[in-house]
Amino acid sequence: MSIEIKGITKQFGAFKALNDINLEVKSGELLALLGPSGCGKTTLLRVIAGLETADAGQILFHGSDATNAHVRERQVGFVFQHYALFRHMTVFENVAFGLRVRPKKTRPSEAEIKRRVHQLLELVQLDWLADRYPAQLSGGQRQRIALARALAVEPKVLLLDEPFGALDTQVRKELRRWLRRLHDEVHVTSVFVTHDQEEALEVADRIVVMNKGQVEQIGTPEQVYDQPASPFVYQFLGDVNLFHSRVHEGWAEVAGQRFAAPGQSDAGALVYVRPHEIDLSRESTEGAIAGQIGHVRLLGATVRLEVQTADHETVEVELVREHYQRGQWQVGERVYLVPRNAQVYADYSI
Amino acid sequence: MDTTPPFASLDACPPGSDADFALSGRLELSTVSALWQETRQRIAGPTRIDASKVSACDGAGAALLFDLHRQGARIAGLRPEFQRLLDSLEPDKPFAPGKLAHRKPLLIRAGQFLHDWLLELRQQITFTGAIAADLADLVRHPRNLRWQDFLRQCELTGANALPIISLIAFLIGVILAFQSALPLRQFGAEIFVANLLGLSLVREMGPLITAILLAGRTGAAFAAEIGTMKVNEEVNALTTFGFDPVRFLVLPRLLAGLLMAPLLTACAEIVGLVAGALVLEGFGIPFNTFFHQVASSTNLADFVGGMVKAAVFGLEIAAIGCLRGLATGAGASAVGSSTTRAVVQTLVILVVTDGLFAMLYYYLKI
Repeated sequence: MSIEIKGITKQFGAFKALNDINLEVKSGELLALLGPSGCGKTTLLRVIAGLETADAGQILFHGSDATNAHVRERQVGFVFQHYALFRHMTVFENVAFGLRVRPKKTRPSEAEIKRRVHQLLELVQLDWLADRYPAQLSGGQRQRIALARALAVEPKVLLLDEPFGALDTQVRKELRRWLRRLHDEVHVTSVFVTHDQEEALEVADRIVVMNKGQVEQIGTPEQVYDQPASPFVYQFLGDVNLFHSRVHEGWAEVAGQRFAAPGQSDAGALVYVRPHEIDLSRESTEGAIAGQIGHVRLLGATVRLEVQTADHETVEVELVREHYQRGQWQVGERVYLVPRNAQVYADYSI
Repeated sequence: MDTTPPFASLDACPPGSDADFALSGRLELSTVSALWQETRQRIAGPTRIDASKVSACDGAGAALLFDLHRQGARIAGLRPEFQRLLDSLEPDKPFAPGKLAHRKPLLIRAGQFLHDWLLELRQQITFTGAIAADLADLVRHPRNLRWQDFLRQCELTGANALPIISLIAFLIGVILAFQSALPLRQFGAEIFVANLLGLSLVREMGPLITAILLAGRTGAAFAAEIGTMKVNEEVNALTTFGFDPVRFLVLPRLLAGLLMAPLLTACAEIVGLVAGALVLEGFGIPFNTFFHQVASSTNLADFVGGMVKAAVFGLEIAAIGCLRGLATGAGASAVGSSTTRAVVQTLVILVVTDGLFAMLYYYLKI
């Protein structure tokens, strides 16, 4: 089922949580709402679910207006950040809950419920935990049960509110791969909220980047990462170094390198360079930025160097571990920086 | 490496030059404190300061320059890197006014209070309406209630509260009987203790004592239980399953309160009377005489009046407990505050209701 969101606006007191949001969720896709905390992504999800009502705008479920429909008519499955499992029920009862509480006409038989619940528990690979209580499970297991519970009622839309936010990195990585596989299996239209750009890039079919209650960009992970629509998107999707420059006849120059800024007018410009897109060298080339290595931080497979430039700015450079060892870079050494790739934004102010 | 201790100085410039004073040396934590004293004594009002000979400047130095700038001094010739340090402190920006100093006027605060109060009133009216609608629906379709939940709540509210309520009722009975028997004995009227005990327990003390205990025990538990569910988003989870939290969570508790409060009150009355009888036994009045006296002084109307009152109390306790639970905000501390509010609000409402019942019964001549 597709979802269309038209001009949704929501205000809490003087705070504008959502400002004229327009987007479409295609049938069967997995869409990520990505943004920093407080950007309105959770509010938007709750508006879609019907847990909050919007001040203005329209929500269409499969083309029909659902703006004023009650939560129960929308047939959504919702997975909460902190699981929200019913504590006094076993895992089996939790998953069966949505089926058992249906009115008699639409309620499946007890045997059918049992079959369905076990099928779902197998799907989330936790069949052996059916008789446990939520308190006896780990965080990752609880979240998978919460997902099974949401899927039990065969929702038309699955909404996940930072589903892996409360889990540790290892479990989170495992679960997001698992979620992707699960989605490929069941193909239910899903929207999930996250503030983790890696998670969004890895799992989603399309990403909606939000900031301050507005949509900054909508696109596939490749589009969003390779062609960020605004400095905010670029900054949010990874670490950046910022250089000031000027656009002149469609080109901006940083450290002797020219970067294309097609279609941008001549003006002061912000040039962003990702730490792993900067080369270090000991020999000076035309226009390269001179600096001195300040700190070296080992981050597992990569090494991050902080280079102090002559204008007392700090530039971060990320090297692959082997590269770093081969170069034998030392703290305090004088080096030259040459960016390989950059993103130019003319006429933006931060 | 330079081994001389860091040094900074403030010198007056010869008249006729561009500046009034010249700062030189290293403006660092170790030098600034002495220099600051000096500037305070020598520099006042708008002056021109030449800072071109400053060779180092850290956060403390920047603070000094910031302070001078605030006093109206114009600092010139600072090296760009130090100038940037000073600029990052935004010396031209006025200080944000302190929050305490800026208290809102009385009228606005009064308006805000009224606004909050009206919001809460609306919430209460909505809740009452939702309960009434659900109760009316229940009468037509009794199968919609989750009877299992109802029975469990009855057990928690009623059966489990029996020991504590019996104990308190027993003690109240003993105390009332003993305290009234002593003065009445002076007139040889101990037998009228039975009248006093019967009437006061059945009409007033029984329902009220039970209700106060229930408020602390059950009302608080309802608020905490539903509040925790609210904080954990279990209430929202119920909603997404198409459930009305009022029907699912509140109705069983409400009915349990409505039914259990009168039953507990009846128990409390019996235990209290037995306790009184035991005391009077000590004063030489036999059981038979005591209960005969009680039966002749209290009538069915007294008892029914007490029961009706107890039922209303039970309803109020459960409703306020559930309402406060559902109105719980976010965070674990919200559960604590809503529990406290539930108990306090219930106690106030209980006393007010008791007063209203006293008036009602007076006019109905019960």
